[in-house]
Amino acid sequence: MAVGRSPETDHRSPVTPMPYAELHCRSYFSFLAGATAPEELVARAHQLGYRALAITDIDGVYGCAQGHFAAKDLGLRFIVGSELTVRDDLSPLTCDGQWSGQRLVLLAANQRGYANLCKLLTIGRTRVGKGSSWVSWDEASSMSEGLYALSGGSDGPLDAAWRRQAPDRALEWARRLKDAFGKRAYVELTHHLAPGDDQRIIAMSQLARTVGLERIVSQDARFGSPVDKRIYDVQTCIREKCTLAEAGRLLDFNSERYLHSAAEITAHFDAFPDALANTTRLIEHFEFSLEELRYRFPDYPLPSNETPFSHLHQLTYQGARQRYQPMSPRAAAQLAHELAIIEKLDLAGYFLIVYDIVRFCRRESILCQGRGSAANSAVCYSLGITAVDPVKMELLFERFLSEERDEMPDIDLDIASDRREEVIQYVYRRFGKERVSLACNVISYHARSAIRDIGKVFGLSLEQVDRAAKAMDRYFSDPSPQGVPTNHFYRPAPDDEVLDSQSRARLRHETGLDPADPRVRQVFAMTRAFEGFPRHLGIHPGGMVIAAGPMHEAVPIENATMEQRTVVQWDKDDLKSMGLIKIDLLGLGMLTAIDKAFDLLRRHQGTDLDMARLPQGDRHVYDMICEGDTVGVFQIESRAQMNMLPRLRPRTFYDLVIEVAIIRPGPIQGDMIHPYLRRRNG
Amino acid sequence: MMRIACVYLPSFPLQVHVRNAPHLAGTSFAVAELGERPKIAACSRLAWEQGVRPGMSATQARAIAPDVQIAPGQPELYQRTMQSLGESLMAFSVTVDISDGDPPVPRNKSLYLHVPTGTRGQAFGTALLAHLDKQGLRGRVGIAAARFTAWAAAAIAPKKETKAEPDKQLSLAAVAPENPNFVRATTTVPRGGAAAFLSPFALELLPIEDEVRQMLHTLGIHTLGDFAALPPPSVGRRWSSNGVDYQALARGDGPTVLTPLTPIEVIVETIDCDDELSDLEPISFLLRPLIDRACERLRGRGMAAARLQLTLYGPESSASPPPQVVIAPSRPTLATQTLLDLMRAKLGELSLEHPVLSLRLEITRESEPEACELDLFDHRDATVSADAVDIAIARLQAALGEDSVSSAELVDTHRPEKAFKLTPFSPPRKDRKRLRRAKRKLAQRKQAKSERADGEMILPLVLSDMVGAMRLIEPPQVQPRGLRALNVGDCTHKVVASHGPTRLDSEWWKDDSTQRDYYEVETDDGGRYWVYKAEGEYYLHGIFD
Repeated sequence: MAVGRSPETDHRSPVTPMPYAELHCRSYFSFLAGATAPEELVARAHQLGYRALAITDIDGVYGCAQGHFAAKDLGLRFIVGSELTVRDDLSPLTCDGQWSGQRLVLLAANQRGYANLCKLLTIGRTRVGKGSSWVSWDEASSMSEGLYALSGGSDGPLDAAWRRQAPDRALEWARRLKDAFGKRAYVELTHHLAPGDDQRIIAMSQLARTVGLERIVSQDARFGSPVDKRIYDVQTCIREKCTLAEAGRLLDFNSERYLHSAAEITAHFDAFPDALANTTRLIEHFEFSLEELRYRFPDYPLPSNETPFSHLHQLTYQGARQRYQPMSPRAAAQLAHELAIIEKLDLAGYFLIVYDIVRFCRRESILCQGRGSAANSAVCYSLGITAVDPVKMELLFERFLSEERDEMPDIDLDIASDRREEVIQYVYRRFGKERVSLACNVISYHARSAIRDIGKVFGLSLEQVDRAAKAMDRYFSDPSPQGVPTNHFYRPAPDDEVLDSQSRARLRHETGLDPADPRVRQVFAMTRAFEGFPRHLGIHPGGMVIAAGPMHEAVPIENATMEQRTVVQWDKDDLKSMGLIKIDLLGLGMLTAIDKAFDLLRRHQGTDLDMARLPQGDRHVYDMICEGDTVGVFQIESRAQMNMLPRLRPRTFYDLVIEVAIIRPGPIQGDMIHPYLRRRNG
Repeated sequence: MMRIACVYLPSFPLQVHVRNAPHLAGTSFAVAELGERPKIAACSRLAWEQGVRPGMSATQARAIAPDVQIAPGQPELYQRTMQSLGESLMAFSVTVDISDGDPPVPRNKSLYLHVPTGTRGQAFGTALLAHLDKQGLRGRVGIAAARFTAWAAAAIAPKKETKAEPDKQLSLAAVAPENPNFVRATTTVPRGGAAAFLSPFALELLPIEDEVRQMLHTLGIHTLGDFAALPPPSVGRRWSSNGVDYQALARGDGPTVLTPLTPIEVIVETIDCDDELSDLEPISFLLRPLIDRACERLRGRGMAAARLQLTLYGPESSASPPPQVVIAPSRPTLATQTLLDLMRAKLGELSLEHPVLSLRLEITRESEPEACELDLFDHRDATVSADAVDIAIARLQAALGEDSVSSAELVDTHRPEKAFKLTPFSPPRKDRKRLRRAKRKLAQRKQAKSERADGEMILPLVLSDMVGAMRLIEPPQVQPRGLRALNVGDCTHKVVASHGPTRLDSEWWKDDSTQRDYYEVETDDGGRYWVYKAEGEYYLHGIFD
């Protein structure tokens, strides 16, 4: 520890490092209050030889899924936790006269603890508007089972009370912690070589002894490496709406809130060996892993003496008899093959739920259509989820569902946009509001949005920021390599690393910003570092997650900006990786148009059509398509498609499939279009 | 309905010339109208006694009174003086009208004010007359419900101050201040008594064309009462010019609308000297009325002087630029004495290269007046008054230069040596909106800071070289195992204990970003030093007392 340390310690011989685990660390999913990605934190912890790492973002477990899988890959123990904002009469008042929240670190020790943590986060997040959260002390203490509580470091109630020179409050908080969590409550000892840290760590240590709480060492880390402090400072300025020059002491005193090596920590806290030992001992109590996440898809209400599979089997063949008239041996074989895989993967319930939604749409005359890889399934075709016969079209079922791929199937439903809300409300009614939630969409910084915020932080004028933002797409259009997070450690790159000389000259000409100016260079370098950083949560366009039990026991739920909408704290990728099934209910305006067209045909020509019985070989339609006369025609209305149509000259539905598939970034960049056209034209 | 007060200023041009050049008071003096054959517009009492009369040609006047000084009229100066007076009167009423839309009586001027509700007419009038005195002007005040009635009440001298009993045949020429019979008075026309009040006055008060007036006289209409009694349809607006209903004026029902005066941006006051002044003492004497007038104008605007500039003009032949003196009191003030003392203190350091002929005072910065914190307490207990501080600062600036006196401002930074900065001294300005905004922001920042993890650095009492490079401990006694001894001055001290480090790593976005490890070091002689290590070297930053 730093107390009484002499300058000699800088030169002392290295101490033997004790094993260490970090139990209090924020990732960039603390939204402008943490500067490093969960994967990078995990990688650094692994590199430093930590025994375990807990990611404890503010009022959420947003980064836990990513952290969990990164840790799993590296063989590092990962602990799920969060900094929970607790508001109470012991909390100090804000300048608005409200109780200000203080943050306790809660760590899930077991399944019950994880469910309680999610429940507390859900209570806090859904109580107030988007972006805020708090729970009362009574709520936190009543759901303490399975949770370990740390005093919260510098944002925690003990440190805050000590800073405010209110030792009685610090004592009261410590007693409360002990009463509620018993031996599962710990006082965190942190030291960041900042003024007052020596006194504070002694005070916290004495407080723990007075109340009879154990002490642990934590770093209360906000970033992985010292250079990330710069990102953290910029985040602080964005959060506090000030420039770096104005921020002054709002910024941290130094860069010490990073993950130190075990040797450094051992040297740092050598006066508290018991606390160091407690830290590593404590991790043995955490038996919960996100692998054990108890998520179950909801049960479909079945007729008596039916299993989900038997019922699906029956419904599939009922539907197939209508779709395939007569049923060909190929179709029968395909259905049998698909049903066998579905049974093997125990996915009958999922198909039944989707069928239930489609049936509702049909009953309510809402035009709805399965899209994407689900069209490769004859079962989906038979159930009426899709309208394309995969047998006839010779589509590959394994693209949709495969035994080899450890993935859940993904059925997306397009619904007439003007009636999508009815379907969503039906899902809420059918499965219960607490079991259904929308998936979130993590809105990340892109170059343009990043430079707007960062430019202001560096003191650029609004006009300069605006011009720079408009220029960003041209200068920073190269995406980061796939799979590599763009939030690599910030470093003040030389300007030639950020922009080549030609780009620098153009930038100067177009924006008036001099790339040689150190401030401008810093802005651009920081912008690059910020790309991919989460900024806030949005709502996924249509992804609904449905659970058999209360959703908040699997993942915390929070309010979305849109009224009466809640989202889970994981986005579609996290949901997928955690095995939570999402059904996409997407609004599509073209379906509304088709629905109206069907109605007109019915009324004026007496023709009753549906999507599956649309005639597919109308010569006049293909003539128009070949001329590129496709304004407003779904999928082939873009300029690129309209340019391609006269060259490809589709005459069958399959030609259209090719047309849609080939005008994509991959085939275009792979220069596949002209070879295909040449081959097609002989 | 608000009552209207008319401030009547007879022989206004004459008064303005005397105000601007006080040495003219008591002399035989006249102001001539502009033109090829200038006529006397106004004359002083002595000139009057010598037989000079308004309307005479300048030649005639000189023939009668050879020693009379005849000055050409200066419409611009009169306008400026009216503006100055109007602005100063804004301290009495929010609506001051100097547009002078009354009957164009030569030589005399009048301006109008709304009488604030709940103010007694006589008391208001007395206050206005006292104010006129301070402004170096003389006049009378009339208070009535309409402009014309108020003007008539002010223009006609009453026999008694408290009761308006004007002489029926009073000539307008007799009201001039140079006239020994001039009476400074306030005449209040009772509510509803305007017609009765105006009734005995001569018809000449109305600006009716001479021909019409003659005709009315022929018909036996001599007074305003006679005129008002005429049957309305027969007169109507027939004789009116610009739509003015003269009969309504005669009844006391004239216009009541006032056009509020807009203060001009920069306050400038000038005064001419009696003679060429080479000594600063008489200049100081002339300063008082100048500052007084400026302060009264500021008072009317609800502002106070934050910075003043005095320019001393010499003869036009002088090649050197006119000397200037600038004063900036520590807080915006309206206290003439304070400003005068500050100005004298600055003038005391000035050496004149040429004689001074006129003074020009400009308020270069005005601000809302601020209550001094000392006002919260009994002034007798205050050991140092704010004025004394101001004067001391003025003397320091005069002796050492304008930039020698600075204000210290706290700077929000972690770096100890940058925790304050010196800014050129200027009085604080009070901007309530800005203050509110700043207070709110401060509260939010305070809240945010109180939630921050870092504590405050405890600084030693003495910092070495506050600004600029820190003093290196020479020679650095760095042993292989750290700091063992340090040299302060000529003495070497053995280090017996040290605490730290406290790591400072700040302002990475600047060229002079810093990374330091601070230690509190105790030496064998009991001294406590604050040292830091940066880039492998040790530096002394402060000494704990």
